[in-house]
Formats: sequence, structure tokens, C-alpha cells
Amino acid sequence: MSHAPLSPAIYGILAEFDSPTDLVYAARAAYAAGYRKMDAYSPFPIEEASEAIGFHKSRVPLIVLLGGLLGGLSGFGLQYWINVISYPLNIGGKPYDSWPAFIVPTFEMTILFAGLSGVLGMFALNGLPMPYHPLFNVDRFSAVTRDKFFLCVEAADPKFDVVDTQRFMESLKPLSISEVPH
Amino acid sequence: MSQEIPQIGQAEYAVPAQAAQWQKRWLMVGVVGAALCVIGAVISRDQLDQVLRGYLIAYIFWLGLSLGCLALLMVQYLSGGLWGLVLRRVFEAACKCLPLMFVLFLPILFGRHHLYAWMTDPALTARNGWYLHTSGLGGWIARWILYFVIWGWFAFTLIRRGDQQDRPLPPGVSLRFQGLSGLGLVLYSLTVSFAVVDWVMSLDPHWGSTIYGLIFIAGQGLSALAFGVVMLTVFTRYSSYREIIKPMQFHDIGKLMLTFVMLFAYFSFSQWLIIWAGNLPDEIGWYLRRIRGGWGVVALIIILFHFALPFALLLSRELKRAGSRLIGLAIFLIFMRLVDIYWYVVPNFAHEHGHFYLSPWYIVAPIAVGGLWLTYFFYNLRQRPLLPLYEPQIPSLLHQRTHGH
Repeated sequence: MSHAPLSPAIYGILAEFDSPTDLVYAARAAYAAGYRKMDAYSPFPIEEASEAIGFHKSRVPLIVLLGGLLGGLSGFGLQYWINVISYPLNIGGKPYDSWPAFIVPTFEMTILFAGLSGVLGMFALNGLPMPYHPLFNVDRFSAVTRDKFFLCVEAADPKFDVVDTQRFMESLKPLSISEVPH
Repeated sequence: MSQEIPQIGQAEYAVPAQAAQWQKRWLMVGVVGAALCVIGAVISRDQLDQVLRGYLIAYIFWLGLSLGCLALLMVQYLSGGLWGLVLRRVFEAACKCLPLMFVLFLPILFGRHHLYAWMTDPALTARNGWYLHTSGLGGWIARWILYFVIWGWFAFTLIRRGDQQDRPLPPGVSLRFQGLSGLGLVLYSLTVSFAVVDWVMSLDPHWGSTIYGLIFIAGQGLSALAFGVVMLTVFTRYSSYREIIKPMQFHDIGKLMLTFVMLFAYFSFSQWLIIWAGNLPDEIGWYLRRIRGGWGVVALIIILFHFALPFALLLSRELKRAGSRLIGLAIFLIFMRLVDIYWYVVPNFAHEHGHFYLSPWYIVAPIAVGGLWLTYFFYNLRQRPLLPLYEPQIPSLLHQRTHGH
């Protein structure tokens, strides 16, 4: 067999494409062929590509919502505690719990906490920062930040087979195919 | 990219054939409603007052819809974006209703002594009579004409230039929209601010708020976007325009609706916070009249259903992407715009009722004016196809059709 000397322990197989359209078509074909553990790489976001590889909804929005609620409640709670319980002051003859005055800081705290939980939640879920990634073992992959589009089917996919997958990827007519060593 | 000749059939961007029927139906509604209003106005002096107040609510809303569409038309010329391109002919048809709204001001002009107390009692404008007077070039009547000249000039200049994109443009000719739209938006904000001061805020000649105009501007933007969603959904239901409109366009318009819901809440809350914090007798009365005597319920409804509920719903990506679901919220928001204007207008006359008051005319008049406005809107819309085919952004609109979102 021509593919005999392949090492079994590879990260995946990487195909290179010239245009976002080719990438999306290839990703759809791979998804239709039953591959699930794969990822698309491009110099700019392509909404269709994430749909094509079957990217499920992330949990970041939920984390942002919870963070925002927590921020809003703690912001309001802090002001209530200061103005009503800890250090009541008569300001302009208004009641201590003058909630309209609390709204602006409450809003700001909601935004602050929602924003921070968005960033931290994103890092927690996507595993960044990632100092090492096997894809960078492939020299051609550096073009992903310029003008090339890549689809990588990972070895972790249950359907992955070094020979079959490589043959399948060749059928997608990529510019090049590389094995990604660990 | 060279301007590729658009590969779409005539049918895909044609106005749905049903539009002629809708025009007729709304004409019926408008005529019957207007006849009812006229009957109401001649029954008695009391009824005349109520009809005029309902008419003012209706007028401020439907004029606001035309003006909101004018503003969004200019915003889209400044920023680009496919969300506005697919709505451009809707916005233009709404702008073309401005001459109708000019004429429909006449009942307010002739009924002004019934609406604005300061017109009959000079003592009310002892301090600000230099602005609130009806005579002369700077007067209330002259400003009405000036506003419409400015709005009309910008609207029809942009529409005329937009018309040229129905045909291939001779090489070397570029249509300059951006400078005109930028200047237009500045003048729009100023004129709308002054206009609502003249027509709504001056119902209470002693009270003033500097953010007042911006609240109405946010409301106009929201009405226009909601109306755009309704029209776009209806088009996709009745015509092949659905081949062109993708969920992404609804998504973008939905995001803008969320923005305007928040902007409206932000402006409204700012006005409330400053007046509440100051707690000055001159200012706080305006809010007290809108909270006491049953009006507080209306205020609460506005907070909950003009802000909280639409805000929460519009966070959903799925809702924003599905026109068939977004249309329900859009119609509801249009209704809430009317409730908000009602809450601004009617409590000015609280001394007459002393409590919450809802005359049937506050419902009949908006429907009547709406009937006339929509009749003229559909008439305007039917004059041209739904897309300017030689607009530079058309290729990217058609590109996303083949590469689907």
C-alpha cells in the first residue's frame, strides 16, 4: 500500500483550499460523510463554515447572562447595603432606598460583569491560551493568516482512518494534503 | 469587483400583486375612520377636544414613521449594509408620505386653540413667548412649513438620486449620497427636536426637557424598524422576494431593534432620573401628572412592554433570525409606540379628568390616519420594483443568495 509508512499517532489530516467557498463545500462534504471531529481555519470569520462543520451552540451566552445578573444584583445590593444599612445619609430629603439613583451603577456593573464573564467564559471553554498546537507542525498552515483556508479532520473522530480519510480528503480536490504530526 | 449584471428574474423583486388590494382595504379603513372623526368633531365641543387629542397622537406617530424611515434611509446611505438595502424602497415609499403628512397637519393647525392652552392665554408664555407664538417668520406656523421644506427636500433629493440606480449608471458618474445623508441626519435631529417641542411638549408650556427630542427620535427609529420588519415578512410571504431575503437580514434588523429599544429606555430613563433627582416644583409636576390618578399603570406598562419584554425577547438569536416570529414583536412594538405617545399627550389635560382617561377617539384616530398613510404608502411602493438593481451593493446581496446563510 502506498500509504503504508504512516505513523499511527497523528493529530489529523489537513487539507488546504484556495477560497472560502471551497472550504465551505469541503466542510459540508466531510460532515455529510459522517465526520464530526473537525475544524475549519480561515484568515477571517466565515459564518457558513461553522454551520458546515456542525458547530453546536456554545455556552458563552449563558455564562454572559449569569455574569450580568450577578453583576446587576451585586451592584444594586452594594448600594442598598451602603445607603440603607451601613451608612444611611439624608440626601435631598429622599428616602434611603432611592432606587432610581442606584440604576446607573447597577447597569454599569451588569455590563462590567457580563463583559468579563464573556471573555473569561470564552477562554475557559475554548482552552486558550494554548502555547502549543499540532497544526503549527505543518509549514503550509502559516498561510492561514493570509490567503489560504484549511479543513482538518482530527484523528479523534471515530470514523477517522488514516487511509480512508486521506482518500476522502483527496476527493475534495484541495491544493494540498498534509498529515499533522503531534 | 466589476458590476455584474444581476441574475435575478423580474418576479423576485416585484412588489407583491396583493399590494393593490391592501391599498384599497386601507383606503376603506382610512375613509371610514376619517368620517367617524369628522362626525365626532361636530357632535359637541367636548368631543371635538377628544378627537383632536386622538388626532395629535395619531399624527405624531404616523409622521414619526415617515421621519424614522427618512432617518434610516440616510443612515443606510452613510453606513451601507444589506439590512437597509432590502428595505430601501420601503423607506422611500414611507418618505413619499411626507406631503400627505403636511396636508394632514391642517386639523391640528385649525384646531390649535383647542389643543394648546398657550395659544389662547398669553399669560402662560410670559417667559417663553419669544418662542411660543404663532405670528411672524419665527412663529409656530412658519416653523411647521420650514420643517416640512427641510424634510421634503432631503427625502425627495435622495429618492430622485436613488431612482437612477434602477438603470445602469454611465461610467464615471457616481451618485453622492453620503455627504447629503450626513448633513440630512444632523438637520433631521434638530428639526425633529424642535418639531416635537412645538407640537407635543408645548402642550405644557411651563415644562421643558432637553432630551425630549431624542426620546422621540429613538421612538421614530424603532417604529421605522418595526414597520420594516412587518413589510419584509409580508413580502416574503406573498412574493418571490423570499428568494433574496435571508435570515441574516432579519437578524441585523432585529439587532437594530434591540439597539433602539435600549436607546429609547436610556433616553427616557435619563430624563426621569434628572428630573427625579432635582425634584423641582417646575419640573416634577410633569411626571406626577403621569404617575398619579391611574397613569402610573400606563407608565409601568411602558417600562415593562416598551422596554423589559422586547429587550429580553430580542436577546434571542433564533427570534431575530425568523421574520415569521419577529413580526409579532414588531407589531406589538408599534402598538407600544402609540401607548407611549398617548402617555406623553393625554395627561397634559389631567386637570379636566383628574385621573386616567381613554377616549375611543384615541383609538379611532390613529387607525384613521394609519389607513390614509398606508394607502398612500402602498400606492408609492407599487410604483417601482423592490430593489434598485444597479446599486453597488446588489452583487453582494445576490451573492449571499447562492451561498446561503
